[in-house]
Amino acid sequence: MNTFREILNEIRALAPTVAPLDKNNVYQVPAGYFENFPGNVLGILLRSESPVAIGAASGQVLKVPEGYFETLSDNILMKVREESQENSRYEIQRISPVLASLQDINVFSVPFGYFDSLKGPANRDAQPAAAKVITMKSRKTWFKVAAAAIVTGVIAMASLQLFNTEKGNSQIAETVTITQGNIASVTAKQINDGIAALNADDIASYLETHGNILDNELLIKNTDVSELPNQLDYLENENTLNLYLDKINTQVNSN
Amino acid sequence: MKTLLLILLISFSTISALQAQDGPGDEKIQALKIAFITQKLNLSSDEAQTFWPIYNKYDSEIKNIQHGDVLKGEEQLLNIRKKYKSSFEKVIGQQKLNKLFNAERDFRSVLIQRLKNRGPQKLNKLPR
Repeated sequence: MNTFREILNEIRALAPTVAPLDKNNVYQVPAGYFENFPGNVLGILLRSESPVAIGAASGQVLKVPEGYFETLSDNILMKVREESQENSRYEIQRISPVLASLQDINVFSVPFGYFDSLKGPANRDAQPAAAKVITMKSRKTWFKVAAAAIVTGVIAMASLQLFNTEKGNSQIAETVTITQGNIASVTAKQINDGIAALNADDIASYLETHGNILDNELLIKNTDVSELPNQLDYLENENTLNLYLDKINTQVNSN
Repeated sequence: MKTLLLILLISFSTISALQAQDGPGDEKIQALKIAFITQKLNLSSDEAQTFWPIYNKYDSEIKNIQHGDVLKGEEQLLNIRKKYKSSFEKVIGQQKLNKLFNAERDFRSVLIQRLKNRGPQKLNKLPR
């Protein structure tokens, strides 16, 4: 009971207009209202000419043609496809008329019977052509040029030397011919004059390259003995010979 | 690359060999030697034509005698002279053969004497 009063007080605080109302059902229908309710609703629909009401009036309310549900799924799919195709074509045509003008036809085609003319063995015999191998040459051209220059120089120097040697030999042969042909006219004086005109280097070079073992005796005979120590020198100093040899060695080394 | 190196090696060897040959001074002295011997032997034209090819071979063999061993060198010289003795005798005879050996010695003696007067230091450096 206390609870009821608290609620009542709360209602009075919130809505003073609602609080004094009595708890009576104010929604009431007339007596026998629902007894004639379907007939009344149908009469209203007939008056409004609604298809549902017309079907209901003719006794075909909530009826479908025979076999309707047997083909329903196929009909729905076909309708969806038609709509989707129509929609995609329309969309492409709207977005890109150029693309829409292209038809979905396979342009990569071969003449009729093309593959029939191809024979298996011919294909097997057709070996791939060997790839052409191109050797990359060295780019060190400076090295080749330098090597060619060196070889050319060496050949030129060798040829020059050979030419000079042959020329020298021909000069000897000419001298011999003259000597043989004019043997009576070549005098000892001419020969001595020729020897006198020789310089020491040429003579030394000739004796070195044309050395004769019998020259030893001649060389010993012609050795300069003017500076050799005398007997008294040996008596005065026992190292006289060593000193003389040292002196000779010094002269030879200095030359 | 190896071929190039081989060519260079051969070329340098050729040049070295050519340079090792007689110089102009040697050719001049050789010509004087021929004139000297020709005069000493009093060779006729026919004798000279046959004699000099033999002598040149003989002289080249003597030139190759090594100076290291004196006895061996003298033996080699004697053998070479014996080897060419008959050839020389057929052309110039025994008498002129003796003159030939003396003429060779005289010519060298003249050269050595000349060198002694011009450059005694060079004379002492000659191989013996």
